Amino acid sequence: MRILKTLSVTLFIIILFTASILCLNLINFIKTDTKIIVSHTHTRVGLPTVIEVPNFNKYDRVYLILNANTPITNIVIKPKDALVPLPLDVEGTEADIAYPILMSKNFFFVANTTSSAQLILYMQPEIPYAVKDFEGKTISEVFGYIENDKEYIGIDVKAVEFSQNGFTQTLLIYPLNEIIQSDFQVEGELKLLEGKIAYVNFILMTDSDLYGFNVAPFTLKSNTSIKFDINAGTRELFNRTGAFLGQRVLFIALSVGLHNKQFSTNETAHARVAIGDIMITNHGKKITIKSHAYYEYDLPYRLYIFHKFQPTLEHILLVLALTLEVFACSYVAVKLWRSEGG
Amino acid sequence: MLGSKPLSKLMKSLLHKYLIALTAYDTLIIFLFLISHPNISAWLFDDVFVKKNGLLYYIDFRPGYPPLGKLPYLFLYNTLNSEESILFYHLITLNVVLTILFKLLKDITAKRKAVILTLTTAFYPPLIWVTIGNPHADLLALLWLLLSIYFIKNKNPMMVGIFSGLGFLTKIYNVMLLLPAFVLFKGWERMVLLSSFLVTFFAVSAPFLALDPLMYLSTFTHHSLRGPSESVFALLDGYFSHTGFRHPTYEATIYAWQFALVYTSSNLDHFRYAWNYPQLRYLSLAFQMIFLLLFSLMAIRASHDAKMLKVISLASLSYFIFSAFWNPILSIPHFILIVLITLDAKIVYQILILIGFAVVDSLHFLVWFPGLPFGVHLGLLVVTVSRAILTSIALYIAAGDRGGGS
Repeated sequence: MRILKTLSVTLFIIILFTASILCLNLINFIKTDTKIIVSHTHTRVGLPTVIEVPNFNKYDRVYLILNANTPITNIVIKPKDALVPLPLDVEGTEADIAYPILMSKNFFFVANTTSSAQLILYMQPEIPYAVKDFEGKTISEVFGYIENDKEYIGIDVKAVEFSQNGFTQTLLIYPLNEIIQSDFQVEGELKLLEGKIAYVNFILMTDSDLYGFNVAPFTLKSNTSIKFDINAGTRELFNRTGAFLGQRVLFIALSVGLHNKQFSTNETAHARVAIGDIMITNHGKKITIKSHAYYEYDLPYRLYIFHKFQPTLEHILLVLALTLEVFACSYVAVKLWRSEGG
Repeated sequence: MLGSKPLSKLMKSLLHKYLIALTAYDTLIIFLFLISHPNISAWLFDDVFVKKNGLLYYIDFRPGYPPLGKLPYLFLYNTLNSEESILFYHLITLNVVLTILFKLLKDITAKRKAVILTLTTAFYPPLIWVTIGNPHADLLALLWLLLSIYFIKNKNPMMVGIFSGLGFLTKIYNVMLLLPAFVLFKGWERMVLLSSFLVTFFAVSAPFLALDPLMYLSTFTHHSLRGPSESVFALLDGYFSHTGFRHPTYEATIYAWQFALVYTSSNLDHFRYAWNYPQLRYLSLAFQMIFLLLFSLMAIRASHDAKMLKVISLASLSYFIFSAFWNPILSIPHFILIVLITLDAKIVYQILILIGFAVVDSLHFLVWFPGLPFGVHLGLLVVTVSRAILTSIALYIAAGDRGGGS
């Protein structure tokens, strides 16, 4: 009995000792497990922009964050197999519309080798809006457009994959963060330059709801302009009127929809839409979203290199030892308990 | 009437009656599944993502639940990949849950009362909904919770340690029972309790701890980044949403503290929440801990099994009542603990209060369906306040010892 008691105390001390060594090793790893590079680079549309990714180990994670209002055409990794991109997936869908990262563009890679690499970006013009797919998959290209001395932002949306309901929907999102008052009004103008649209909607996004208004119907012909005016009395797509009053609208968006039945099989499913200045009035305040596309701009970025723990033989032996010690301690404790009539 | 005698004999046997009732119940659940045909696989996006990208849970990717809560679903997804297989897994678990509950109740109260309460629990709408269409760890977690309580009552520290360990490895809240159990047991029993809990933990966790302990521990620690939801504390903080906005799945491939660096906290997103009144968070935690400890200490003075069971259940209930996080699924263990703490009450009162909870919890579930006359804000306010009132009534009933327990 006394031997068992001594053994249990000894085992308990050994467990504490092993666990302490393990914890210390892990704390030492955590102290240096992240490298953050916050920087910026000068970007000119048409020329590649290079971001260096220094010194990573195999299985490390590399995370690049750009502003989403600087759309990207393509990203090339050099050397090619150094980093493997993980697919964008937002809870089972590929729609990159998670609210907290709505205004940022995220790229995520797993290191395939221990080395350094370059991310070569081919950027599009900077615009005030974040461009994101909401339904289906599209390739979007933004450009500046001037007509009668008036500036527009152009967007060319090409459908790559329609969703099950036959639509693609591309959002141009702008952060607002305003509580909507009764004087709320949105005025704007857009023009279909080419192709066919299923719709262009204007959307108000709160933390838990969407309020949509049709601003351009599918009947809109090429080379036709349309002006829109949305206010508290405008009927929504969901047949509500003024339901958004008093709500905090986090983002507003213009959504450009295409439908597969509008295009024949040998026709490129696309639409080129030009968007003019948008004027927002709320609570006596006026906000203007200027339609200007910048072809040369400063590109801020944040690059994270997250080191991944790689088990050493020492670590595996420590875990094994701790497990065996716990088993032995438990065995002794049960023996002692049973000997006392348990 | 040939054969009527053996048949009546058969019906007289409690076991056979029970099995017939269970079969009828399972048939009803399967029928409900077939007519509602819920989209269970939509919840399995983590499993789809890890499979598609060749990742391993707890080594490359931290899911929302510990291994026993998650791996059965991954196994079913990888091997059978059918919604029916998940329904059958749930049904088996639910049958065992109801059996343990019945056994527990029968041990400490009249058989008739045990039957009525088990049936009331069986037809509790959120329990049926989770069984039919929600592939989360909650049913299995409930099983371990009930088994832990059962073995606390039977004064077996080894089994309590094992089942609390299995519970912790399914859903974290099960670890709470260790405290009242530790207070209740004496001498070497305490050592047995803790060591059997650790043995269970290490038996399941050792491979993950060896390959990437940080990813594994992140599974447990990332919950600290999360905010309140659908509780009194959430509403006091001005947060009227569900479990947050949709979030990128790939971010689960980094450790919780690394994730905190790339994901800005916001008072609009439960997933990485910035409290408007951070004091509420600590208040919630303090209430949970104080009442957990208080009821654990009270368990020592429990004069009989029924009373001890009540106090142990109250200790466990403290965690749920003062939790800043709530959702319709969490109502299930809460409901069963309410059954256990109100055992002293007259059956009529007990059933009435349980029906009250069933209505409120069902309404809570419906709040998230669009098209209801009341919005999410009013709906959440109504169900949260109603639940608080009902819980107060249940606690008032529990406070009195009316001797109706047997």
